[in-house]
Amino acid sequence: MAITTETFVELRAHSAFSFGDGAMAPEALAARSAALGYRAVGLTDSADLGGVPRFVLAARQRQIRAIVGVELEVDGHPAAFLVRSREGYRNLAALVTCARVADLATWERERPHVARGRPGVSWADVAERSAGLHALTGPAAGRLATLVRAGQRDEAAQHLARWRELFGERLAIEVQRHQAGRHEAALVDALIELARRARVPWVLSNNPRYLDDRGRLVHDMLTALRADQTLEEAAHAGMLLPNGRWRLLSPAEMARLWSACPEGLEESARIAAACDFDLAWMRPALPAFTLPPGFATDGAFLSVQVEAGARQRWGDTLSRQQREQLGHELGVIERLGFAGFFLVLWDAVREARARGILCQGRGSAANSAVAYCLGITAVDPVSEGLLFERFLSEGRLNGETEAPDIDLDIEHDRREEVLDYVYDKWDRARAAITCTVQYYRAPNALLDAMRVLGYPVELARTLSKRMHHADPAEGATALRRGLAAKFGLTLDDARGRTLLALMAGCDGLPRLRSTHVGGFVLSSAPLGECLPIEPTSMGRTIIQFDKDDLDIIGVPKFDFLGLGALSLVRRAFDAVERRTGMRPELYQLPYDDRPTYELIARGETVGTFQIESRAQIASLVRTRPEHLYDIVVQVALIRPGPIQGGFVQPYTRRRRGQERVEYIHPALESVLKPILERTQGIPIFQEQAMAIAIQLGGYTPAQADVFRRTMGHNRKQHRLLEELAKLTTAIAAQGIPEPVATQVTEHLRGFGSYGFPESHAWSFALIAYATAYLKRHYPAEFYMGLLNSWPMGFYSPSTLIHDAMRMGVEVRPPCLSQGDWESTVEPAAEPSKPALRIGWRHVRGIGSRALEVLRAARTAGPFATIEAVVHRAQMGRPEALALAQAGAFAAWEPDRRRAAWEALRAVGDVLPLAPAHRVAHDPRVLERAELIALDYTATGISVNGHPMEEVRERLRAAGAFGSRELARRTSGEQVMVGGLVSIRQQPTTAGGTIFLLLEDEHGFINVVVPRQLVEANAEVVRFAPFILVLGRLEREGAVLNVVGRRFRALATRPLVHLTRNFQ
Amino acid sequence: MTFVCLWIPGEPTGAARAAERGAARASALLRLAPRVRVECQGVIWADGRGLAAVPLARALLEVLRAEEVSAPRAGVAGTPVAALVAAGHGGAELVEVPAGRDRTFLAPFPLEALSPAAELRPLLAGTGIECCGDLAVLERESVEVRFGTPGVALWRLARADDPRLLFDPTPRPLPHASLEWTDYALHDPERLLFIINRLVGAVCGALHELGQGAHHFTLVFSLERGGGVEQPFHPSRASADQRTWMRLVRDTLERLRLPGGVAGVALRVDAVGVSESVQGDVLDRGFASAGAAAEALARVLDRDATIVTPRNSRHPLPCRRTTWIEEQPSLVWARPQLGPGDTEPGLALHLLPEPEVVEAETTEREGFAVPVRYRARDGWHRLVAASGPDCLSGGRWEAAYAYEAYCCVRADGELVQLCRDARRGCWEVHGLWR
Repeated sequence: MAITTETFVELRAHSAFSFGDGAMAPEALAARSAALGYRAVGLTDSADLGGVPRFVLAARQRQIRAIVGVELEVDGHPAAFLVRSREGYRNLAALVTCARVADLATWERERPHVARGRPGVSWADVAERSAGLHALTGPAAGRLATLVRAGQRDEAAQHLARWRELFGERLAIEVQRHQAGRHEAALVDALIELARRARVPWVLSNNPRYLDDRGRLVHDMLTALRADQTLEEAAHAGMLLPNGRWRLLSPAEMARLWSACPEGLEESARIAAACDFDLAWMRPALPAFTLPPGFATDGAFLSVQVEAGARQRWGDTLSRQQREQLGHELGVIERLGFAGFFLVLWDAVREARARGILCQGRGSAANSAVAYCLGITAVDPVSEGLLFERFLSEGRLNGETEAPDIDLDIEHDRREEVLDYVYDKWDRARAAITCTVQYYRAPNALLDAMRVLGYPVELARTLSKRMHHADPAEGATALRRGLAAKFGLTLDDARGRTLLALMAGCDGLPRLRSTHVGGFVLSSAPLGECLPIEPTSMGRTIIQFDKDDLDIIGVPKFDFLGLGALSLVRRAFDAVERRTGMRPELYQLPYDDRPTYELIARGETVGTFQIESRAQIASLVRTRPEHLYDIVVQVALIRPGPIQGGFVQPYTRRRRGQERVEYIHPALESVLKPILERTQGIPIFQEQAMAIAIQLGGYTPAQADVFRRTMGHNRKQHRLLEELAKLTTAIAAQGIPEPVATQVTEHLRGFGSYGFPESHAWSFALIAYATAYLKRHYPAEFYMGLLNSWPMGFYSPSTLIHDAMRMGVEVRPPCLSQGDWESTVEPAAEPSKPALRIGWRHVRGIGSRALEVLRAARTAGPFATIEAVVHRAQMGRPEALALAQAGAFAAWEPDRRRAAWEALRAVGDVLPLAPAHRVAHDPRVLERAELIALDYTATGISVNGHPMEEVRERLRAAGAFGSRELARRTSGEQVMVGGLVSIRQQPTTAGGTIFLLLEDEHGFINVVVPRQLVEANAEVVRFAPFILVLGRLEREGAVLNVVGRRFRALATRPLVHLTRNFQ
Repeated sequence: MTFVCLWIPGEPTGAARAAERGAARASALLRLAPRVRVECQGVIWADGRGLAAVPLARALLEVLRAEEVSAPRAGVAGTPVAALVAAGHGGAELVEVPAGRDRTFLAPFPLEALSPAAELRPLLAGTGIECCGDLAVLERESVEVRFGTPGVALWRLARADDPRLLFDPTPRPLPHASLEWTDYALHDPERLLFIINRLVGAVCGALHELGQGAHHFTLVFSLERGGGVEQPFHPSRASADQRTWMRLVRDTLERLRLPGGVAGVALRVDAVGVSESVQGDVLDRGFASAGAAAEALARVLDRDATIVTPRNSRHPLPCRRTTWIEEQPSLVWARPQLGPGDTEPGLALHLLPEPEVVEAETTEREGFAVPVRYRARDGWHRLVAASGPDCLSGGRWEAAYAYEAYCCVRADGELVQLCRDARRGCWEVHGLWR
């Protein structure tokens, strides 16, 4: 082979998917490799294949060949394996799985075989899975190099012989030189000599971990973090790499370095040529449903189930349209081979229902009549005219069929039951959950960097709270632009400069891998042979790829998602049934209930599903929904796409009859009216965009679906623009003037940010309506369900409780005599208006173990005295005090301090034969304001009043209005308002403006912090719990906003309060 | 029984400078008060027992003001806790708690004034015990069962039952012995040694009884023509062993030349510690070396020098591998013996105190500039071999460095480490292997 500057192939790069031992993103590796002139490059992360899909894709885009491999610890020493064939990939994935979880067949959740973070395989495992793999003997820490370094030449030769026996020609001795000292140089010489003597090829690699100096710094940081040391300590411990030569060197540099000894360069090219990889090899077999006797195929069984379901849904006689739709869908499903996929979901839904767990398909699945008939979804796509192709089409993406996307919402606190069922049904080896790759963001980049640089933890925390939602590089910029100076952090010295470099270097790097909220991958074959599996700290098994990777590979996943609202609804239904004997059914509620729509139109939707945000409430008050479809639109309307597209105001005006309905262009009215009429001529749903593409652009449904796929995500903005240009041309080609075509596609542009499928909106609207219906007719049960399902939604429990009281619900504090660990509904004076009892779970300061003991004790029987509670629940002082402070002993002792006195006596009185004397204690009676503050400390909830009551007189004297008085002020008036910050929101669509929802004793006040005032008032508007605002009142109908001009933190009694922050 | 508590508001805690300032103030206050104790957070105690405490407190406040302390406060009470609360929370510059009224005085103050333990605070607040009086009126059993032992300790304070010993008892005098004679003067070292032996026997016996040994003792020779000579001794460890002492004395006397006859000898102990008789550490291997080592260290200490020991790390840069750590003398005594594995056989790199910048001529090898000769202060040196480079770089967070280090064999046979400072682009000799 003639040596050229392009001969060398780096086979052994480590990306950040080596988690802790790599500081470059796979995409960056591909890009830099291409820039350096590589024609092929190899990725060998440590026991991890997570970076492979994106690396392969990026390499393909750069027209370089991707060599895929991993570095694995074999009997405690690293070695590398490269994929040469499909079988090789399967063996490699199996080895990685084996290294991470050992044998999945005998895997136990509580007792994993392999400690997390220390993956490794044995020689026997390698021997079993060596086919199709090219082995490299590993770096200086490898077994062979270790023996050579120790001067054990015979043992080294034996070791090499054993490997050669197994791998034959597929073996090379790995030689690395980083100019790291005489020991390394000696090792290089010895390894080359050994290779020549044993007639085994030797190959060069530089084993790069990063791309440049900044990457090296990040790698040092990761190394120090792994050892829980500062950079300085790690340097002195000799842990950091001694120089910057573990970067990706160019082929030319390598050729220059090894000009005297080029065999290793040639061998790298030879190995690269022998290696092969295809993403399709990663695709596991689709799950095969176990069919009952009498059925030959999944399709046949599915048809029968669909038919049975159709009769249940639509009655014995199906309309022609229904029959045609089902026939069409079943045909597509059969042709694409997804019958098993549907049956798996059907089975999970059936099992969930059998256990009384509410579940509902969401997303585009609701466009499918088959899904509807199988009971997976709740919306009738035939009657609602939903487009099946939005869900599943025969169009192909990247040459592959995109898997159907069915998200199944399950009551969030019972989701584990369904997940366990799926694990059991498919067994651990054939079922695993998708991972979520968490990337470095500014706060954690700052925390990590400051930690290794030895900055005080408190300072790091303070600063990190001030850069939420920012990328690391943005965080570094924020530090440079004054944030650091504000908190006394110097950036001018070496440490400060390093901090900035580290943060910038973390940009785009994965930080850790966690469990996806519910994406299951199932297969009929062992999954770990295609998609490597690893355990989580919770005992789940996850695959090393996230959902984007699965999209790249083309693996369908089953999303079993937890939805708090379904828990809420089920709990409320249970309570209604207990009280009234009648159980409402989720999909059989009266959808024309006037009082419910009136509640929604008044904007009293705090706590309801999807229509409770500040922006949603404002929109509801403006549009005044009267039908279920109004809520469907509402769910989709207050989204980034329609907001940025400027659709909200026109829709609202048209819906209220204040503006004439137009259809983009008068010439197109006849075509567009059937598509857009129900949304007042404005495209809001993805299905409408697809229908426009079909009707005006002459697209086939499958082509329209390809167009639709670009609408889902911000990152696909450039692709959306390309598709829009294509559509413009297509519309113009149908004889429509180009300016008109452009006008049409301009209307669709808003989807680039985020467009909602109508089917998804329907699914959510049903639950939204159910929650509003419950709130209107069964408020105590509604709030009970909400509190017991919390955390969910927008509001903290304290806000929800104040809202409940405003809605006329009698709220009672936690009680160990009457109540339970969850909130309950109790009879009140008026039987139709039950009271809400707050559950013990909201009492702060009780650990999970203590709570479990308390629950068990209560299950054994009711408590009779404070002493009985303390003794039976084996409480310590903190727990007893927490319950007393929360008023949970009020049934026996109304005064909380006296109750605490008694409870603490019970805790300390451990000598039954010599009990302590009961001594009366008569502390001062708490003032109301003190009681409210104590409530917030003890439970975060107060039934005794609102903390704003204490400062009300002071505020009134200063001329500030409460929420009730504000309603009587006129628009444009200058007002001063104050309140507890309940919600703090800075949506990306608002260009930096912050929206605050202040809460006082009578209701809520919307405050807008204009973008230009945010920075000057950042400390107050971002962090103060109580705020005083001077600004201008803006009124639009019943919607009030105070546009702030001046902001001050309001001095009050210290309060433990949870403000919820959203983006 | 009267305690005077002085409190300086806003005094920083824990800072070295505050400690320094406290020591300076203590010496000023000691001019008025017999005993003074400086604590953290600006609290200074003065022992007013047996004195007119209020005038003393006033005078002490004056002293503090003269020391430019702003708004010092004082509390005078029969118990330390009452004095402390009076100074810190009394609300006036000088608050006197009438004798026997300490508990009554404390009663209205919030419990925070007694600085309760962190775990007690929520328990006390949760039961509505807000002030000292609330706690003081409770029965001990009620307190103990609810708040445990820390609760009882606080309860006692709230009742002005403060058992603290602020001032140590007066230390007893250290043993000493002396003998004087007037009729004659001694010139004979043997006879002198005989007398000293008797004195040493007496002092060592006294030390034995106390379970102590001397770190430092002094022989004082009174001369016949007046005046005297003091000879200090520093045993390697606190010792009350007569034979050890006499060996030290004999060694010293062999070298000591007195200007005249001796008319008296006194032996006094200057510093004591717990007597030890462990044998075999590096300082005691053979009494001759022990004495020399002890003497050397004592001399070092006398000159206020710091004893340091090297701590070696695995830093890639040789010159940063060794950090010198300051040691307490007591730790040095106890340092274990060096083992045979602590020194590596073979050539060792001897770093120059400072790298010497040199001019070098190079040739290219595998992309690196390899030196072939260099010119140092003593002229040009031809290199017959240069292995490397070892690339060493890093330390950006503190002091960045980047070197290409070559191990070079000079024509004269010396092995030198020649480095190219990649940051500055110059060549330096860092050391020699010997």
